[in-house]
Amino acid sequence: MTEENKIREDHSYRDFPVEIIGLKDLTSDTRYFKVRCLNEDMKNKFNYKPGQFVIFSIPGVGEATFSISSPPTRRDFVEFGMRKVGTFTEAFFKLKEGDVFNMRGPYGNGFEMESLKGRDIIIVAGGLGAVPLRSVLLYAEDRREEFNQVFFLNGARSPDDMLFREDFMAMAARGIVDTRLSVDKDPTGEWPYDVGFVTTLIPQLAEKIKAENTTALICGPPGMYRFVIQELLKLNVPKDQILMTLERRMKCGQGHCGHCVVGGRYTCLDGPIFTYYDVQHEKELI
Amino acid sequence: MKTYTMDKKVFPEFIKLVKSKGKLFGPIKQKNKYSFEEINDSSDLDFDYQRTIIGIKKFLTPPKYKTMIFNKEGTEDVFDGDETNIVIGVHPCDIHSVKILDRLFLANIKDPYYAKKRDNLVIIGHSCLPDDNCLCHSTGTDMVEDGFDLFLTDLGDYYLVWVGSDKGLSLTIAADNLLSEETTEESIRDYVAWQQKRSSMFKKGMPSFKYMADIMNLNYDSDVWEQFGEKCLSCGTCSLVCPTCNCFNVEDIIAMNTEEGFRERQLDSCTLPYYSVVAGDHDFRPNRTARLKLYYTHKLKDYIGRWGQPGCVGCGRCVTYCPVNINVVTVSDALFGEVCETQEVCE
Amino acid sequence: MWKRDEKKPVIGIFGFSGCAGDQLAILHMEEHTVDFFTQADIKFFHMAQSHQEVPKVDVALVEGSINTQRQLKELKEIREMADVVVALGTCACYGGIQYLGEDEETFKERMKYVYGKNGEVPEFLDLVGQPKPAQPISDFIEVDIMIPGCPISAENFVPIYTKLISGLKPQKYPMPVCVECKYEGNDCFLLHGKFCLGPVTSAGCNAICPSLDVSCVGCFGSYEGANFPAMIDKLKEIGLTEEDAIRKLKMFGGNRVEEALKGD
Repeated sequence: MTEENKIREDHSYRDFPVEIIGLKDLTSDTRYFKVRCLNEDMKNKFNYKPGQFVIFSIPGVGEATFSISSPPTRRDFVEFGMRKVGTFTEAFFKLKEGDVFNMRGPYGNGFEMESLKGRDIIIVAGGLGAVPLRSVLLYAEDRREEFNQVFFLNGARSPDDMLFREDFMAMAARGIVDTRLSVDKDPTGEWPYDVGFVTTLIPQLAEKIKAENTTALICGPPGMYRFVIQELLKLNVPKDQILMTLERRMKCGQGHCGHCVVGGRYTCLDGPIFTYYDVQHEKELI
Repeated sequence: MKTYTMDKKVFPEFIKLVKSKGKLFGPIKQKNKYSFEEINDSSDLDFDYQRTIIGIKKFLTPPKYKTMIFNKEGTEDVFDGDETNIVIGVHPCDIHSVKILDRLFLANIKDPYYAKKRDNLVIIGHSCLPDDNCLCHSTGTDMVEDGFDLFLTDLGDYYLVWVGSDKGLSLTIAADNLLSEETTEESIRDYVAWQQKRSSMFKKGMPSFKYMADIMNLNYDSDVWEQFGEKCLSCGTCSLVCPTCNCFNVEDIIAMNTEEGFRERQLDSCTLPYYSVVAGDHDFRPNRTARLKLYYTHKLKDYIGRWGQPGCVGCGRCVTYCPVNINVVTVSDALFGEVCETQEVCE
Repeated sequence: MWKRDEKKPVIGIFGFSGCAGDQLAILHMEEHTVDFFTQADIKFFHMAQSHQEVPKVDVALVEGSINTQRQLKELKEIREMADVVVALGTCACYGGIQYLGEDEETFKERMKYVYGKNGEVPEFLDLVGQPKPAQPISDFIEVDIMIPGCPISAENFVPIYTKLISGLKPQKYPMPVCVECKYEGNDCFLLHGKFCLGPVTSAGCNAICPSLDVSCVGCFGSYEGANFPAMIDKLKEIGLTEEDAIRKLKMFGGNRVEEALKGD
């Protein structure tokens, strides 16, 4: 181990430099970033599970939490998608290709892909929820043989608001994953897929899935969960097989700062993936 | 656990010796309050106290401290705590609070900033007699078996000195000529009598404390919360004086020359209005009631679920310092009363 | 570290009705003064420079409350030409002490009493503009950031200001004086039956008064999370009449207190 690497691993807040190697606008206020580890050793060591997150640091600006959007099956780079909504993202959007910032992690439980083997998978994303779920989605596409049926239901307010729109349309065309895209409103009338809330896509699967062999993975804006869960329960998807990823403010990512606590669970340690069964009685959830 | 006795006559010398091992802090009286401050000699110390406003957490998670400095060239971590801090006069409740903080900061992922400060902290406990606001009898934290380096029990003319760690042992070895290894029957009698006297002095109790977790669970939607929410000033005092409250914020501060700066941790409180706001300004706890509920359910219910023990050590600080009388006693009494009323299970 | 633009942002410091103490406080930040004038392009600083015409500023620091029609016009011009408007000091943020005279009717009476001749208030020179009751700048324009204080403290001002001139948005995290007071390990006045407005007052002063055994009178203005009805109850409990309690709250509390107590 080189001297530098030794320093990099000496404590839990140690971050490592990454370089932006690609970026593009996804919608008017969301942007895609592709980064690579500058440190060779870290590049090999940085392993993660879909659904995990990292913490970005720009000294002077601060730190912020972001879900990983790329699958661990694709190496040498890590991808993210973010909306410009806060003090950190406003600064981050000023960065360009070639700029370097620091990253630490990965944190959180992530999805246990092993336990999904052989199952029917329904991935339900709304809006920005497509960012973390894209990691599972691409994993499932890369290792399609490990799963039984794989459905991807993605909703956005309008075609212009759909993140990774072209990628997902291409995915629908490939057909490796049964991809169904919907928009709440289609002002131009040219949207070739469904129009309506993402929840309306769920009953379409009623005849296709075997409920007891199905796992649903959901992520979206706070208001979406209740309705999606209702629809999934109608399909008899078991409560402990509805996996939801939650967002909370956090300052540490390691169970110390207290900000992300929900009903005794730390989103950073016990989440961000929770089963609906585990959190169904938590009032402050969404 | 090794036990010694120490004649109070040699206590000033003992303090001199301890002071030679590091920076020595102890309880001193400042007007109406007590505070752990650096001391020069034993005459500064005032052991006749119930609680300092801020507990021993001020040595482990100070209100504000730098974790990193940075400039245009790069960053450098800052780890405070090179110096050994010795705190004498720490009560059992505060020692229990350190055990709780240790679990949070060290048991899972180790926090390097806390670890450094903890490694260099020596705790010399001291026996105490309760006042009306002490609850440690109910929370089961009135006695302490570990978590300290030395513990002094005041038995009149002399101290019983318990050794709780290797650090404590090496102090007793250095103080060999001041301590007696003999424990006489008389001192055992004195100790038992003292314990009995102390036990009988607790006035405020929480009979409901044992089932508080369940009561909180059952009463999650109780009106009691609204009533407290209406009264709460959202001032954060409860969190800041609570010896187990450790939540923090992190802020990067840029110097006026805009070429350097530092990252700072600041003690936070879940009762403050922006505590649960996420990016995009969605607030998961938009009112005082919701935040107060978080404070109390986290401390009295969720801690038990996670660690098998509540996050309250019965020190009575919230009882003493909340300006509007919202504290573990009034909240649990109100919730317990609610159960009694609705279910007629209580006397 | 965050790379700020090479180009220095243009700053304007404007003053309306108040004691100009916040502009003075900036000049008094001795260890920071040189950096203050070199790290940004200070184009307009009422107190420190002779008047300059500026078409546009990146950041406008606006001190004082608005109490003439002319000031109101100028304030709106500032909003037009500034990317970011910062309310500097309690007067700009909440109206300050002069907000006590905000009531339109009593204002007219006072004007008559002070300036009246034969029961008539004379015309004011165009230089000042027609007087009106004092109000905080946020009553008229959108304010991006508030830095209360009477006057502002360097500890509070510098971190926010340096973010702004580095092209960053400061994070808002309101807290009351009590938080800083407990950071200092102080005892609580209210518990000893003594008056203190810490729980309803914006932090940023490092609890300097309570640390010197002086009660907080609320000079940093209202804390965003303040619970005024509960505070009034507390003050009554320690012996104030409701009327006195409200008067004390209003001294620096300005429009926030007014707003909160409206329904009562």
